[in-house]
Amino acid sequence: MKKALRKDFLMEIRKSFTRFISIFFIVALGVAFYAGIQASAPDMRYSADAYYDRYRLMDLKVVSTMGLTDADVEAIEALEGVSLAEPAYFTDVLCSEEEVQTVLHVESLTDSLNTLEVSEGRLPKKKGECIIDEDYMKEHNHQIGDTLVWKEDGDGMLRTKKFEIVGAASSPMYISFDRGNSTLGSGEVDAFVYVTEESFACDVYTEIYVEAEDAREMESYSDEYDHLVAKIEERLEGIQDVQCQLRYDEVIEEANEKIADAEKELADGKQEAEEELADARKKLEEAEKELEDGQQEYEDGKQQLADARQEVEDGKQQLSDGKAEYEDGLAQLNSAREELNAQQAKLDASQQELNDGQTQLNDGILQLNAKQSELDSSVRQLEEAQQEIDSGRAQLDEKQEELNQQSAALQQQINEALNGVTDENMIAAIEAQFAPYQQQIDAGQLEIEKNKQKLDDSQEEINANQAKLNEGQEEINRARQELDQKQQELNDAQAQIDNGQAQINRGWSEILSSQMTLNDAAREIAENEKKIEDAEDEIRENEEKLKTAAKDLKKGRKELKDGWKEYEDGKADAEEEIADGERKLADARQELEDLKDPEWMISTRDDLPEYTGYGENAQRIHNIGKVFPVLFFLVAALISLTTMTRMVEEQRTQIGTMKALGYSKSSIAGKYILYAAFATVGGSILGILVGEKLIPYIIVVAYKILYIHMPDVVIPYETKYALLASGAALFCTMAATMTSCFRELLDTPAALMRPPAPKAGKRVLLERIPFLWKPLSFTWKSTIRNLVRYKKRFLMTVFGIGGCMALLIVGFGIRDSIMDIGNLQYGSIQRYDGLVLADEDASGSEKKQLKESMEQLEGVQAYTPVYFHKMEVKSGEKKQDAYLYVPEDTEAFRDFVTLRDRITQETFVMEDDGVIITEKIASLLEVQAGDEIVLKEGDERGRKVTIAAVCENYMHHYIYMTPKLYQECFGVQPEYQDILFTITDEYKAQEQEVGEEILQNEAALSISYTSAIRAQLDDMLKTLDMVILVLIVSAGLLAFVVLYNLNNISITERRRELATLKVLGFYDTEVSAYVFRENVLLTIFGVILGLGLGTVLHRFIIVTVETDILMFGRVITIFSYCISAVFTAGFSAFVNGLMHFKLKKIDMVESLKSVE
Amino acid sequence: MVDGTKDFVKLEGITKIYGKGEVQIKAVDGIDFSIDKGEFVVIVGPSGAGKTTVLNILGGMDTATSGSAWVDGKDIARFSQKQLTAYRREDIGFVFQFYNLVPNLTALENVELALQICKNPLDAETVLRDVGLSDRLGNFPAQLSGGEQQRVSIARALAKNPKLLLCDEPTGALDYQTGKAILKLLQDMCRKRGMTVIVITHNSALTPMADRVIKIKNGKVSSMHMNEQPMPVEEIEW
Repeated sequence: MKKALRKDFLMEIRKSFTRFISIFFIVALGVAFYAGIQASAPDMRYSADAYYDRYRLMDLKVVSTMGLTDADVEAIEALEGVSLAEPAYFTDVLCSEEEVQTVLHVESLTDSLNTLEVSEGRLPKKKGECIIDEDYMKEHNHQIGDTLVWKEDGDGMLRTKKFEIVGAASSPMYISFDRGNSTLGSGEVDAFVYVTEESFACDVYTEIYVEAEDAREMESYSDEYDHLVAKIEERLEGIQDVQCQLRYDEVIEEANEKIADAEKELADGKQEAEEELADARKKLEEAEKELEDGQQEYEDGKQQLADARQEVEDGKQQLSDGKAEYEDGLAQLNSAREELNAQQAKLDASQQELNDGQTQLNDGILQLNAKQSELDSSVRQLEEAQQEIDSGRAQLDEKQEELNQQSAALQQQINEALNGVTDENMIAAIEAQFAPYQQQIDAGQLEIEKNKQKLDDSQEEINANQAKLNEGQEEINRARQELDQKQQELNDAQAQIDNGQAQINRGWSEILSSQMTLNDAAREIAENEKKIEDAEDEIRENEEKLKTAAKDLKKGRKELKDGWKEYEDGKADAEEEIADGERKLADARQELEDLKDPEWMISTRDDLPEYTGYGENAQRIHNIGKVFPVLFFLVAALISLTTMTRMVEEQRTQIGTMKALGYSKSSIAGKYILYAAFATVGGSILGILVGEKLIPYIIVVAYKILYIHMPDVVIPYETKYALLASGAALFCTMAATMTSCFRELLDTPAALMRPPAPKAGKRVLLERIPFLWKPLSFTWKSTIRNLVRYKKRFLMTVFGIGGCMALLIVGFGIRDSIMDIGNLQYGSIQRYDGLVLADEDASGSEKKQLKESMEQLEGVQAYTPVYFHKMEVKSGEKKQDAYLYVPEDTEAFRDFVTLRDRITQETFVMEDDGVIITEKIASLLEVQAGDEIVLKEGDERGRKVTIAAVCENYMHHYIYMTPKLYQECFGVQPEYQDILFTITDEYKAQEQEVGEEILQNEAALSISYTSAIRAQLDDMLKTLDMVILVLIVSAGLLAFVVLYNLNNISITERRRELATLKVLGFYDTEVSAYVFRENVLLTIFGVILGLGLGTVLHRFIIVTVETDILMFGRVITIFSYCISAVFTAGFSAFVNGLMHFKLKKIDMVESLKSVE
Repeated sequence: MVDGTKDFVKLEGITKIYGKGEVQIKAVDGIDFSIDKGEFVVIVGPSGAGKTTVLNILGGMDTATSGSAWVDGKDIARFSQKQLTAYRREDIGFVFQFYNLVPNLTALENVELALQICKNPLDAETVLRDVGLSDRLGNFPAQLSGGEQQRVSIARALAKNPKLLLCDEPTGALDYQTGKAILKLLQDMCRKRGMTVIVITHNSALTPMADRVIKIKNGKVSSMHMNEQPMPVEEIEW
């Protein structure tokens, strides 16, 4: 190169440093990404390989059903391609840690292969020492010096159950959290433990580790390695039969010897046992006789005692009868005494009454006498009165006589006077002469009459009095009579009382004699009582004696019984032992007969937990590397293209001048090509140096979260990817530069030296729609016309921003896709908490018992039996393995597994006319509902079934079938021995414990928990966050570089225009806005493009990243779209902010310069 | 002349020094002159004499190192950047040698672009008609000839109704006839509208058309004189 040209070239770089740097960085970014991600997968494998090699991870492992011998070791070591065969022992044991039971995988230490990385302490050196898993050590807070005690000794393979922890280590066999499976405990191994060989008490090895020759030089996970291992596996299989036969013969021979020994031993034992038993029997029989005599004696004594007791009882009875009688008599006596007293009182009262009556009577007599005397005086008075009356009467009679004489004298006078007078007047005058006489006689008569009357009255009165007196007399007489009678009565009463008194006196004397009799009786009773007491004492004494005798007897009897029992037991034991021995012998014989040929199980590293998983992860990164960086690369190439085109266009005049001066085309183009080459090569070198270290480092370290025991980070420079990336970058920029150079060079120098015809402003389509166009301001009009004018730049920017947006969407979208599958798969699709796998060899009753215990077990919310089996599924040439579910009860099954369409969410019901298969297998086999697939179980012939529906599913492949369809298809009834179950909410935290209880059942082989798989998914997510961060950072970088570069170009191009605006008096912000308006629009377009691009890219990456058994979610959340748009806008705004300062710096003087 | 129109523009001891330290270039070294309102002024001088610097300072695009520049009673040499922008916006019309039209906007839109930022603009269409472009309103700059583009540029400057119209070699990129026509347009505008116009050129043939001629040499005013009878452009030959 000419000196002038070289100088011009260097000046060019210095002058347009931003442009140079733009290309430099975009290339660096593209190359870094491409080479970095491409190199990550191999670097992951190198890191793993370095680790495996360092600790000499075995290549193959042989385990035999009958153990392995030194002969086997030798035979294997002798194989071609095998550099080392190392035997070891292993067994699984249960160990109690506080409240949980753990399963430990115990292995013997080997010298060369599978060496441990001791993180603490040392390796065990003698029996009873162990080194444990460092994770387990941490988890259970063990210290060096602690002792581990197993519950079981691993089928007797270990010499002791107690091991002292002397160290902690990690093993290349366990690179992650998984420690493999076991038939013990919860079914999952919790930790490994290494002990010395002496701690094992086996005569044959359980496993042989094999190292393949040259395998260490090969890279793990490579086809080359797989091929080598497959070859050795084949060779191992080749010698398997011979070695197994040898071992078989050996076992048979050994067993036969043992059986013969055992038979002899058994016969001897039998003999001895029989003799001993006979002796014992004799002794026992003698003792029995003795005991019987004693028993008889005891019975007699007991009888006597009973009689005596009876007698005493009788006596007591009599005594109490007598006592009762005595008490009665006493009571009678007392009542008689009382009665007598009462009668005496009564008698006294009667005497008193009698005396009172006598007194009254005497008084009555006195009164009566007084009345008699009164009456007598009245009689005398009356007699006197009578005499008077009689005298009166006599007088009166005299008078009457006189009168009568007088009257008769008168009458004779008259009559004499009248006699011979017949003239009346003379009669009347005679009579009148006589009348006064007559009157006097009449008056005298009247008076007599009157007195007579008077006398009559008195007489009458006397008569009345007389009657009265008579009456009184009579009364007195009667009273007297009465009194007499009373007197008589009184006299009678007195006699009666006297009589009573006599009686009472008699009673008293009677009582006295009774009292005497009673006293005698009491004395007698007391005497008898004493007698009885004595008798009782005697009885008690005898009883005591009898009791002792009874105790002695009982003891004797018990002793005898024990003796018999002992004898029986001994006999039974002996018989049992003999039978056992016989059975064992028979078993042994049977076993020997049944003894299957031993079988080798040959496994490779692929069977180690997580080994393949790591390879798959590397493959996944590789898949991402295939697509993802291409985007970067594309952008980088496009950026270089625009930048270089622009540069060549800018220097049009110079090119023309040079051409006019006579420089050759190549030397003119050389400047630009070199410029681009410098930038590209520089960028590539930076990109490779940084990218190939940084990106694999980030990824390998991120995966260490999952593979914690992989210490190595090996990231060599991968020349292949470095060359590929830089070559491609160089090619792109070169091609771009050359194209634009030669287009210019084709023009004549004259045309070139004229300023380029400015790109004409054009009317855009929008202007034809006045109602949209009119309201726009000039700046907006200009913006829109600008966008249309620079189509290339428009596309570039939109593509760059779209790419940034797409990257972000992919980043967040991947997170959405994976984040969801745990929740979807185990939250809404497979809603059970665990699956109990039954031991196929368990008996029917054991299986039934398992179901019963599921029913009863607290903590199990619900369960349903299913038939669960791995099947090969074929469609045409394609085949996949899937798990077949045939639920016993399809209705109940719906509570455990939801079958639904992913998009419509419509749930499917299992029907007898077809199976429901999961989405991923359907897409792998390229089948859909209505197609037919072939199900194949083991070596059996395949059966065709129709697909009824395709259901949503993310992990593994499943086929759901009704029992009827299964029977139609396979001709047999499925055996529902496996069980799906859910755990109640309160037991969710202790599901392991529930599981252990389930595993107590003979029929339960193992349990797989959905929570464990969920936890794995969560770990996977953790590593993903790192990837997303990388994506966001790179998206930001991409956005920055693209926008910065394009803005730069745009500003340089329009320097004049912008300066003019400034001269016209636009403020800085107005000038910035004039430019940014375009960027805002471009960003919007870019975001819209990115939406589509990101969605497509996300889908593509998800599909690529998925392994066969896994399906990620396809949906990106609105949130992810939004946040991606926000980030993109943010990046764009950031670049615009930077540009503002650049715009401010534009000198107005530029506007005065001529057009270049 | 009435007071207030006299010394409408007055420069006093304006210097402009580029660079710092040892290498100092004095672009302008103490310029003094004054211009009355409504004058058509031609500033003439050879390349590198400092006339563009004077124009830049007068146009508010650059600041003087020392001295003062009075425009309509204000010393713009003391203005801040922001005040200068406002000054350019409101008081100055600028005609560039290379027109500096926004290529994306039509003739009319280019004029309107300037108008939308100032306070009392003239009507864009009228001005364009005045400069003789009534039938090219909707054309893009690329569709116009150089003279037409310069007319748009002048129209854009005039439409702002500025106090001062500054023209930097307005005919520099134009052919003779077109150049004449443009100068005529400027002269007419000055006469008709009474606008102060300052034209910067290296072509001393143009001096007879000016009211006032200022000659600059080596950063200093070498002479200044008034033409009592300015010649119409048509009569000038060069």
